[in-house]
Amino acid sequence: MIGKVNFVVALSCEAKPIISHFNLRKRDSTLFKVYSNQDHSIRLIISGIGSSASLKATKHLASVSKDDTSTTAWLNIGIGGHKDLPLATAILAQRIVDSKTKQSWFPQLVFDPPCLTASVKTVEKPDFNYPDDNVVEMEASGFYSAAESYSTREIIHCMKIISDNSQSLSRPPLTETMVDELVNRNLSSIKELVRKLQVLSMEEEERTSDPPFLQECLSLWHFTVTQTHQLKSLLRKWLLLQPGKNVLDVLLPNCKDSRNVIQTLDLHLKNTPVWMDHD
Amino acid sequence: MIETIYIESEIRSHPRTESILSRFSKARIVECERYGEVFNPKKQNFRLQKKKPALILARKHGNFILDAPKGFGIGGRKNYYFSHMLNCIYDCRYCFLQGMYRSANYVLFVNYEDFQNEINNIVEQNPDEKEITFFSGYDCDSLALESVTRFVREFLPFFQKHKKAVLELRTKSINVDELLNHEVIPNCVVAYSFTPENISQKLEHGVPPVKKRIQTMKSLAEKGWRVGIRLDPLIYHESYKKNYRKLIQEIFYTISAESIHSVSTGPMRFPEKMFHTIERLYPDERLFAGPLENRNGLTSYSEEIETEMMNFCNTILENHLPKNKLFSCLQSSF
Repeated sequence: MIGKVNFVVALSCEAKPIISHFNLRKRDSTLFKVYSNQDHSIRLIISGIGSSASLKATKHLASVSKDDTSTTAWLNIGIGGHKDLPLATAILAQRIVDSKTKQSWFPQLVFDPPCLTASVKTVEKPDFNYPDDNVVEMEASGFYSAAESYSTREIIHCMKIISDNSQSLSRPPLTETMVDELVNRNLSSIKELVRKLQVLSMEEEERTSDPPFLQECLSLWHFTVTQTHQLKSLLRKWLLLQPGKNVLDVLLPNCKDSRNVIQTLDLHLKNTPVWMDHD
Repeated sequence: MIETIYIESEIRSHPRTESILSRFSKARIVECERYGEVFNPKKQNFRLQKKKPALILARKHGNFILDAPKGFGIGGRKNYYFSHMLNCIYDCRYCFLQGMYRSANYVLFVNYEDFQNEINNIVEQNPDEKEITFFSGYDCDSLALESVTRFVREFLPFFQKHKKAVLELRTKSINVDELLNHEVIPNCVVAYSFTPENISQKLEHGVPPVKKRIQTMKSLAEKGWRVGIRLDPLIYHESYKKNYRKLIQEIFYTISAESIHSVSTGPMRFPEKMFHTIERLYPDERLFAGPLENRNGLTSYSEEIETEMMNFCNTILENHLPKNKLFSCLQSSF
């Protein structure tokens, strides 16, 4: 089992170092450019600029990720401005506020962040005034509101790299090469963050995975949707109470149909003593 | 320890907030408007958040004191509970909190005075009652986070002045310096929850060992504090008789029966929906693979198992204590 991470990035120049490091290949370029690695455990979409574009791209990436996205980690990487954080500093969002709707999101930091954390404000148009302590950028709120439809707040994060501050306003505009370089300089933090998110994603995959023998049972008997839920629950209990034993040894000689399977399993488990460890 | 503290903007300058922040100078501070923005959203994972829970400082706006659920009591006619905090630093697999809240973050309500005013009002509204019990460890452990909350430090003097109000501090914590350094007040019961050591090791993650809890109870009892024993929930397993007998004997071998205010026993019960939430969070937990069934909207052991376990424990307890100190908590609602 391997944890899955979906990147949502606004610009090609922001994505380039990530694509290169994780050996991603272009898979689709109809609506958005979508990249992934060989086993599709890491995917990346280029959203274009703005909260709305980021929202649409996140939804698109979820729709093209054919597997279950509820255990996938989501990561928005991009550049942003701050009044006094040094250029090239990476921050992980601890709060995201949408400047238009005033809605807030609070990504849950259940691991040691690989970089500083800060509050992030998503604005509609480029804004080089930094009246407060927020990192100002243009995608996070759209990304977060969409990603939240698929995963939970512990595995949805935004990393922003400072590209502008109040001291840098007089310098020439940012070029693609400069943006590429800003992301490149923070690749070690991005890699560390990806590793941590992969671990969490993998834990969630393990927690939600089908119990052993489910596919065998489904291929041998016909189960309704409700019965399939009951079967999953009973097979999980089987794994805990009869570890190492093949459930089919009990079911095959006794069961003609799915009802028999559920009744037999239920009865068998009810008659199994519950030994807690160290009893 | 706590690395992130969310604070409602409204209480940013509250003295209790400032005092807590002064003890967490390295914490990440994140302001929010209402604690529900952080605590209540659907898309949260209690199990993942338990890895590194944050502290949320908030103001409670009402419902400070609530009627205790039916069947919850230690002898008094009038029973209430209050929660200055939501969630617990321990991680007990049988705890209903993991199914009650979407977030494992600790919410601390800093407006203690509002809780105290409401307790005061209830006492004044019931002049004929000799005793009114207020349970404090329902949605949290009363003592475990004392170094942060100073809850005991602030509430003992209040109850010292309100002698008709009985405070139950329900806990598994051995962090009792505040009590040991305080003058004993007779209207406070320090109630310790136990499961047998082998079950505790398996299910009560982060909780001090049973032996240490018993020793702590002993120190409190020797100082003069009234102590309670809570065998709630009773956990069914193959050798439960041997294990509960051993636990009860160990407690009464260490602590004199005269020091014990009350013992309560209670079955493990969850509202069905809550149980499914918890089961989904911990599908690898053998506790939930046990002989549980759905009865009247609750998931519990069968009536037969519940009765057998309660009777078994109460029979042993009756060897040590008069019946009027034994209580059964048959909670049917949450």
